[in-house]
Amino acid sequence: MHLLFFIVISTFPLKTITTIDHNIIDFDTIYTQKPVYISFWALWCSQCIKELDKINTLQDSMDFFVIAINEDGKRKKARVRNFAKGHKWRFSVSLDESQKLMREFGILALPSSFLYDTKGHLVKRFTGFSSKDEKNFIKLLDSLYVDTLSTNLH
Amino acid sequence: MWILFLLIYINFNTHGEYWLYSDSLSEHFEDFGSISIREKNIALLTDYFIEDNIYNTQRKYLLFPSLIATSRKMQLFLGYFHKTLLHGLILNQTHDIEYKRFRYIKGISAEATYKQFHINLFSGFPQDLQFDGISYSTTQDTQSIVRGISTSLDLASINIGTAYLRLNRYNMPAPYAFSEIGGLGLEVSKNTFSFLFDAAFKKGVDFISYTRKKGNGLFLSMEFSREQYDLLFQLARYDSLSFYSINLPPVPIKTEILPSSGNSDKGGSFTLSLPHGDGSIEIGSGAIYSLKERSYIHPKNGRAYQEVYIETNRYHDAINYSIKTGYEHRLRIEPEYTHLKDIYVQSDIDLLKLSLECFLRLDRFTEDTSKYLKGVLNSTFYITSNLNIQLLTEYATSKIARYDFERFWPAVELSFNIEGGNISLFYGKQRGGLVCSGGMCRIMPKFNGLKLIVSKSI
Repeated sequence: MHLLFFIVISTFPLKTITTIDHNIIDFDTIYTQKPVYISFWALWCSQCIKELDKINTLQDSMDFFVIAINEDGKRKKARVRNFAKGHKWRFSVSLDESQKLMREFGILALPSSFLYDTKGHLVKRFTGFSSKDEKNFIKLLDSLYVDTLSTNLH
Repeated sequence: MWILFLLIYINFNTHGEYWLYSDSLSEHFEDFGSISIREKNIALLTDYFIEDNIYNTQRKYLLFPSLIATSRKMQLFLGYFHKTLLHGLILNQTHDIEYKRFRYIKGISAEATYKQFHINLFSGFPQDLQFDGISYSTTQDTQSIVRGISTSLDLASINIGTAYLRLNRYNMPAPYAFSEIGGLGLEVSKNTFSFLFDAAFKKGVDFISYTRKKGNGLFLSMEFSREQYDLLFQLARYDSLSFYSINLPPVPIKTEILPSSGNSDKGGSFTLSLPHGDGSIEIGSGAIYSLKERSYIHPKNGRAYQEVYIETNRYHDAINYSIKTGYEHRLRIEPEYTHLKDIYVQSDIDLLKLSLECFLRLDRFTEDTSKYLKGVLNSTFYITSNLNIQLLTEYATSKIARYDFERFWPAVELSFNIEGGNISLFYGKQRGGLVCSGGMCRIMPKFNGLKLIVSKSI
């Protein structure tokens, strides 16, 4: 007799990613140490850019890892790099060259962002980022720090 | 007794739109979504599409399933997949969400990596789904098959790539059934400097004379980056390079206009970004001309586009703003005019303490001999963290043919965030006009009525 058990779980979806500056990020070592925020964006998406500008400012005061995955395609690689540097984004920017990640994450509209805790579980999916969302985001991150701290103490 | 545990990840996403036209009471419904089931190294996913509207006699139900198997050095795709080769110069079968253009290849693709060397082989039918402003059209192109190979070698700061694509059209007579396009690319990245050069060569068919037709294309991008500035230069020259619209050459200017879609274009741009304190300044200029007609000197047949702009952004705890002013000159881009000159100023202001976001734009158009102004004011007010209301107004001082002799377009939109998604309700008028993305342009028809848009992920 064969028994087949399916356990439906939510695990951290990225192993490695290459940034636009050709650095390779290994998420296995990152997501266990700090919350990870994955944001999908495009140059034409003004809401996405506002969101990432806010996230950039938040990174001054809060410790979380950010990867901004661009969906403009390989055709705009240089323009994306120029844009990120112009906006002084300190987080890593990556290019989803043939939209593999967009398909795997099931992105149908932009902006779409995902916040993961240090266990690799999806905490919240954002489909926009208003000033009110910013306050909720800070509260959410604070609660994740408390969880991580208590886990580490145990 | 065997007990087998499978850890799987299930993801479901949907984006549905319902439109009701207030004048004719006709309806449009579309729903695009995806379902994916992922085990450690195997993913089974499908995109789906449903459309029902008055312009189609039958409802459209489409499925785009794929099986993806991944190991450390190999990746295999069976079914529908996306592909870009040499920055789109050779192939660009990817989605453009803004433009509602969904492009796949249906077939098989195998990718392998050995140390710094990467190779990809694929074969399949190019398949497109595209919105024309009223309904979707599908190109379920079972008469054409593409086969391609691409390689890349990643050294420390140098990437060398090659790509070759062959298209076989079964509905064409044998001598003209085959078309080929190939190319090579070089990318060099150092800390403060990056350089990208792509070249492509095409052997296609002239459908008027039924003879062989050659094409070629060059794209060059150079970037100098320092702490105080980032300077980007881009140049392109495309002669008969359009490969049955399955390639989309890179557009070397910021505005996504490539007047001849890669068949007869040359142009370039520079973009200077100057980060400072709490913000940045961007200065840019670019131009595209028809290749053969030397359109700016002899503007009878050619088409051209020029832009110059300066933009400043500032980010602060209480207020974020951007101000942009610029000049555009369009020559024969749309059929209704020869010259269209536009001087504009626009501003985006977020008063975060008041939870208010405003967008303003004022254009002064000179369309051949007539002159008029057009203004846009969009305000978004956040009532709660999950609810916002947006008031949209657009006004032109003249009634012109391109806008169906209308000059006022008011609308209101209510958006509500739900867990993992969003619901929005729009009511009002939307002006039609030229929309360009990725070098392709289309005329969007005007809209007057109600739209209900629901996005949800599980």
